[in-house]
Amino acid sequence: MPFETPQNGGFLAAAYIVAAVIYVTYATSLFLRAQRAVRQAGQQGSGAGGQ
Amino acid sequence: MTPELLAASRIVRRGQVLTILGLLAATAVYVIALCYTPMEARQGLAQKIFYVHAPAAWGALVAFAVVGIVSILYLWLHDERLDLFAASSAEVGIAFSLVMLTTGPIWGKTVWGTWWTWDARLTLTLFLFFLFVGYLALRAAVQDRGERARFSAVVGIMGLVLVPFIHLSVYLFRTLHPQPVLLKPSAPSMPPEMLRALLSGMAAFTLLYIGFVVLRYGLARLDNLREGAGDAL
Repeated sequence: MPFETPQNGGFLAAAYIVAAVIYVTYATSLFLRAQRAVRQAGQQGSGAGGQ
Repeated sequence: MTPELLAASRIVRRGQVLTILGLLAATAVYVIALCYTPMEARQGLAQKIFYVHAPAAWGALVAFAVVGIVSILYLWLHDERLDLFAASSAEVGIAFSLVMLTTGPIWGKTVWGTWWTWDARLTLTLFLFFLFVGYLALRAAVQDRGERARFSAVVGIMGLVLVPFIHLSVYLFRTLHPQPVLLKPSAPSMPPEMLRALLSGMAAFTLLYIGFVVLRYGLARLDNLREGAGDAL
């Protein structure tokens, strides 16, 4: 039986954008948290070293 | 700087490098999937959601399986680093699950005609997601480090039990979800161009999982050192 290929490119775009947003947001959150933690640990380390 | 602090900072740096490589590899998968794979005639372009959805599902199940296995090791060896690694993998697994649980319904809406159906595979996957959200909530609620590690290890092992059950759910129950095309006893049931894109996706998102989990583990080690210093004061 003949069939017509559905026109659903919008769903593809939505899925790819949602996935990219989740991955990039999580990566950014990890980078920011790591930056802050390294800075705080460095301050703590230098504080302890000075005592 | 103490040796522990140096080691944790080194893990963070390695995690950052691996995460950047993983994100670059994921970008390459997007390009391969969008530009170099054929369009499936019956499902249309929406079939290409599969190249993002299946690797996310793989990443999530690997992450939760790692939580369970490392939790068993923690209960055996009582090494705090194992507990931190399990917690890191759980958080990363939730990120991958979010991708799986959002891209799946987008595909379902156009192919099945519905965003969601309460069939075995989907329901069990949602249950696993909530189990690990609970795992992180439990960790945030328990103050004592030993108790936190012990309790969360038990929850992590419960999650591990669910993982093979979820994979086999399409065989055990009547379900709308497609059968596995890769992880099955017979040969992969896909044309070579599609299979290449899928395998590239699996490799890229596995690298991204490793990058995320190493970075999160380094961060957990740093937080743990700070927490320890706070306790000592």
